[in-house]
Formats: sequence, C-alpha cells, structure tokens
Amino acid sequence: MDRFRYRVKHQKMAPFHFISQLDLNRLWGRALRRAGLPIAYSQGFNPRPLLSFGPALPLGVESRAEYWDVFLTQKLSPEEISNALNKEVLPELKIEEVSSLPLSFPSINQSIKGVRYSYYFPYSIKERANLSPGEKGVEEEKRERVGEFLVVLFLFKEEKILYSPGKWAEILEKEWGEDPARIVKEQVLW
Amino acid sequence: MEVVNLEKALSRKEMLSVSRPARYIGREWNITVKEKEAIELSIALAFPDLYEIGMSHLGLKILYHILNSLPGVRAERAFAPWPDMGNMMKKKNIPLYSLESKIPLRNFDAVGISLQHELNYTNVLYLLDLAGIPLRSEERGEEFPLILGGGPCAFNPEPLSPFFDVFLLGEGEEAIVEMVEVLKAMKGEKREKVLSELAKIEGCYVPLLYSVSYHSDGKIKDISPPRVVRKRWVRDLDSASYPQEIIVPYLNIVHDRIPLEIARGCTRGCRFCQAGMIYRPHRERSPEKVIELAEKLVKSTGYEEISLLSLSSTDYSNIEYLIRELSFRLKEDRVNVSLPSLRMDAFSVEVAQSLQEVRRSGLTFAPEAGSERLRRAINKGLTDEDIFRTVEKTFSLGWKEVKLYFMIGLPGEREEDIRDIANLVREVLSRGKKKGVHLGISAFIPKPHTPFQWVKQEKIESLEEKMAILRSLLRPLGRQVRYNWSDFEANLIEGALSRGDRRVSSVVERVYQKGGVMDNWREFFSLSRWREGFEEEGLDLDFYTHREREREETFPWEHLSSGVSKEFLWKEYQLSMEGKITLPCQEEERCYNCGVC
Repeated sequence: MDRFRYRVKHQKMAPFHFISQLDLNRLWGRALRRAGLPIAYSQGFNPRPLLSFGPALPLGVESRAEYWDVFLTQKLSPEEISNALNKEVLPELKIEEVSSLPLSFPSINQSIKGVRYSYYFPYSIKERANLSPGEKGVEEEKRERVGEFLVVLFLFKEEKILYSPGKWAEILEKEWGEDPARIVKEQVLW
Repeated sequence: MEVVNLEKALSRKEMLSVSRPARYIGREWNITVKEKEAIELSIALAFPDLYEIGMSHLGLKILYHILNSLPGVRAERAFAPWPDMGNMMKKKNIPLYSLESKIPLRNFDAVGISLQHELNYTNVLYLLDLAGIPLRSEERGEEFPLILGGGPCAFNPEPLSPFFDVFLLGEGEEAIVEMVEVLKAMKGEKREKVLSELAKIEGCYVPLLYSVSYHSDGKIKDISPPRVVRKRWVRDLDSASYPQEIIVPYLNIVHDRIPLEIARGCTRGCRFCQAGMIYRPHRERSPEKVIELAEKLVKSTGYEEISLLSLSSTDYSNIEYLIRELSFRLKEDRVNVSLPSLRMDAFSVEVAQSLQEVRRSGLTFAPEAGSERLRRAINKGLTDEDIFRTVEKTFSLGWKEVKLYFMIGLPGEREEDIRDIANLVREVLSRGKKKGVHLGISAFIPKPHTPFQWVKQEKIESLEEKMAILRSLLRPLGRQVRYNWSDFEANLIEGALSRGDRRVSSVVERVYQKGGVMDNWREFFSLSRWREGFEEEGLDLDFYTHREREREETFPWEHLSSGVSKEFLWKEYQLSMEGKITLPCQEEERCYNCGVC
C-alpha cells in the first residue's frame, strides 16, 4: 500500500502543558480520525495509527515547536492536512506547519541539532540573576523584558539537546532564588 | 461574572505538585461553552468522585447533552479533586469551579450531584464544602444554589437527605426538562415555593416535605405524609435523547471509549442485584438507532472503540445482527466494538468471538455463587454444566483466561458453598491446558428495593474466615489461579449507608468533619473513623447492617418506589429461601406482576 509521510509542527500552549505526552499521542490519533484523514495503520491484531513523536515534552512546559510524523495512505497537500487538523483541535494546539517528507527521512530525534527555551521570571530578579549557571551545552542567548517578566532565552545543544528543561529550571531556581513562572520551548534547530 | 483564573491562582510549580493536573483544566474536545447565549438558568453537574471515574459515567453525558441543548440553559461539569488538589484549593481559597467556564459552583442556580455509590457520600460534602456552599439545606440562604441529587442511591437517599433539596428517582431524560421548566419559571422566588412546585413533578422527592418518627427500639414508626414518590422511566429508548457528541477527555479515563447504551433494565431478576430491580422494565434501543448513533459518535469523537452497554448485552434480542452490522460499517475506521457484560453461555462466547477483540487475554463471567443450590437461591440459575461448557468453549476459541466473579456472604450460604467455589475453579482448570482463572471475590451487600433488603449483612470476621477457607483451597491449585477480594471493611460501611435512615446523615457529616473523603479509595477509607462516627452520634452500626428485618418493618425508603412492589420482593425472598428459581420475565407471556410496567 502507498505511504506518504508528513511532518506536523504544532503548538502546545497553556493549559495544555499539563497534558502528558501519552495523553497527547492519543489526542492526535483521535483528531486525525475526526479529520477523516487517510491514516496508515500498523499491521496486526491491534492496528494503531502510524505516528511517531519527537522527544517528550515534560509536564508544565509550553511549546511553540512540537513535532510528529504521520503516514497517510494518500498524497495530500500539506495545507489540506493542516486545515483539516486545525478544525479538530483547540487553538492552544494550533498546527503551525505541515511538510511532506521522503519516507526514508531521518526521525525527529535523529535530526534535532538544538532546542531553544525561554524561561519567564518575575522582572524583579533582574539584579540577582547576574550570571547564568555554567553548564556545558546550555547557552544563554538573550534576556529581555516582556511585560512583567524577565525572559531568558537558552539554547540546549550538543549533549544537552534532550536535556530536561525542568531540571534546568531547578538549577536556575537554586542560583537565582526564583522558579520560572513559565517555560516555553520556542524553537527546534535542525 | 466571577471566574476562577487557575493560571493566576496557582503557579506552574504548584500545579505540578498535584497528581495529574490535567484533571483540573477542562478544555476538552466537544465541551459546550455558552458564551454568546443569554443564560436564564445555570446548572453544575457535579460528580462526587475523581475526574477519571466521573467522566466515564454515561448518565452525566446524557444530562449534559440534554441540558445544554435547551436554549438559555448552561450546564457545566465539576468533579471531586484528588485530596492533594483539594487541600491546595482550600489553602489558596480557590472555590470548586466548573471545568468549562471556571465559574464557582456556588454561583450556579442549581448543582446536580450524581449518586452512584454509597462510599461517595462523604465526597458529596467535600464538593459542597470546597464550593463554599453550606452543607445542610436549612443552613443555605436564598443566594445559594439548589442542590439536586439523582442516580441509583436516590432510591434510598435518606443518609444524605438534610444536604439536598431535591432527589430525582429514576431516569432523568424527561424529568430534568420538566425540572428546568419549573426552575426557569420560578427563578427569584423563595426556595420553599420552588421546592413545593418541584415536588409536583413525578419522581421528584423533596425530603424537607417528609418527617420520620421512630420507635424506642430505633425502627421507623412512621413516615409522613404517606405520599409515595414513584420513579421515572422512559417508555421508548429510541425517542429518548442520546448525545451524538460526547466529550473526549485527554486523560486516560476508566472507560475511555464511546458508551452506547443498547438496552436498559434486565429481565433476569437476580435477587441480589439492585440494578436489576430499579432499572426495570427491560427496554431496547433499536439496532437502526444504535447504528445511527454509533456512526455519528465515531465521527464526532474520533474514538477507536465503542462499548455496547446494558446490564446483560447478550440478552439484546438481535445482538448478532447488531454486531455484524456495526463491525461491517466501522471496519474502515478501525473501530472496535466491545461488550462489557457476558451471560454465561456458549452463545455469548460466540458473540464475543465475532467481535474479534484485540486483546484475547480473557473473558469475564459472573457465576456469583459456587454451588447450584446457592445460585438457585439468588436466582442465578446456572448449572455447573452450563459453566463448564461456557468455559470450555472460551478456552477452545483461544482465550487464555477466564475471569470469574463470585460473592461471599450471600443469604443462605454454607461452608460447602465456599468449598464449591474452589471445586468449580478446579474443574474449570481441568477443561483447558495452560489456561488460567482470575477470581474476583466480593462481599454481598444487601441493598434496598431488592428481595434481600430484609436480610442481615455478614460480619467481617465471618467473611474473613470464609476467605481463609477459600484461600487454603485455592493454594494447591497453583499459579494458574489468581484472585483478589473486596475490602470487607468498606463493604460494611457501604451496607450501613445503603440501608441507612435519616439519622445516619449526621454520621456522614461527622465522618467528613473528621477528614473522611474518597472513601471508595482504599488509601483513604478508614473503618475506625466510621465506627467513631456512629458511636459519637449514638447510633448502632450493627442495627443497620447485621440485623434481619421483619416483613412488616417500615424501611427508610418506604415512601420511595422503584415501581417494583414490596409484595413481589418479599415473595422473591421467600422463593430464595426455598431455593426456587424465577425465570426471566417476558412481558405478556410470562409476567410476575412485579408492579413496574
């Protein structure tokens, strides 16, 4: 049977950051079915939609750059897929982009070169938070004021590509005395 | 309008400190949020248990759908938070809110609470307390919502009577609409007037309008006025409202699939079974209607499984046709069809086989008692041979395990009946090589409106002795037999509450004040807390549980009718003691005049 592979990029904004990765996998399976897209299923007694997900996003972390791959049995335009799916999920999970990929294209995990996260702190910590803690593979790229927040942008790269943004929040809390109000995965570098 | 802003109220870290925060955020698929419509009446549907339990309940889905389909009516859901979240809400002064619009429950016009289980009673108070609503109806001013109750426990809601304004007996599809009419028309009027108007609706029980007097021995002397409230039931399931869209949760709830009710009621008349009595008569939804609903629900939810619900699915007249047709139509969508309850016969096994269920691990049956004699007494007329043949068929068609449910502590039970459970298991094992048996043992609890409403509940010590005998007999059978049993302490309290009277309400309140919540969860249930509660209220727990009632005794639920007459139930009780079977009713051909039709 014909197979066509697509990579879907979507948001996972509050309050959906409290929905676990497993719950999210089920959610997309059902959204695809509601959308009536021609999903390819696994073989065997218990056929499952052929979906493959990127690294799990920890609970409590928002994202503007989540990815998963899906296999369909018919060739559709990326816009068709994205429009159909956006009708089946709430705006916090908005599909940002769908792209068509060759079947043999490397998996999401294999392709990631870096991840950018922004950490939202109350602006009042500005004085205390002079230096970011040194950690190989985690690089502070920028800090700026956004409303009442001091937003610090970190790039996780090399051996820290899949490093937990929650762990990093704990380290920052120890150093700066404040837990981030929000953590947002901003971008994946390929 | 006051709303709870959860993101402001609790930090990311605080939300992460509670288990499964997704329970508290709402935003599920297919919820109804009425933003633009002018709202005349708002009703919160509150479930006194965890999100995952409440979201699995069909009644809630039906009422949610009916209420929200009425113009000007807003219905939103709330569930009992797990205590980690409950404590957090108390500490941070966050009132219990509806999941859809995050409106505090106390700002609704009415709060409807589903009463599915006696061990949820403390959770009812927990919901009210978290909502900032005074527990007792008499303490609530006009500014508070009306508290409505429904579900199987409404057939004896006396232990909750001071906390509620109205109970609805029986099925809600039609009655809720009539209640809404009254509530809409009388909005702003004094509560007393509204209640007396609601009491005119068939099935509506306003406990305030009744008074109960007692004899010196504690039995009920009189319930007045002598006006009986009769339950509501829907004549025709095809025309009864059924949702075509149901909420799809994100969490993996207990029954995470499309519930499709194919029949209501049961003709079998098992004498221990409250559902079999209070949901009479047996009615079926037509195959055409079921198929139509199935297709719509699959489209609107994206669910991958449909469960065909009824008390005994294979009793549905045309189950083979229905399953064949459904499987055929849903094949392309990869939707599985499942049956929750299988009768113990070859036909049912064949039907299960035709479902080609994916997990071929085991099939579940309920022989309920070990010996033919005792099965006759409870009107579960299976012979040993019926059981063996069914099991043989199950094994031969490839299932690796049977799960068998039994009760212990049944009226008329002797030690030999317990031994017979083990004998039966031994014989079952001999019918299949390398096959397993999973036993589920639960303690029998006498329930109101059943033929066993008169009997005494077995004591914990005696149940434990029986369990010890059973364990010693099962042990030699080796690892092919797995078994678990119910919490006898919790069963005892379930029994006390199920046949409790109005006085027991102060025990429920006291237990709640002592910290009793989530009593149906083993980690929270405490028998000593309940014992203290009864003692401190000067009530005798044994009076409610371990006491054989006389025929003439006035029950706390005497004024509440399931339609099934006390005479019929008494006759069934007598037949039970004689070990006589009553065959399933068949409308005109075989009617026992139970009184419901």
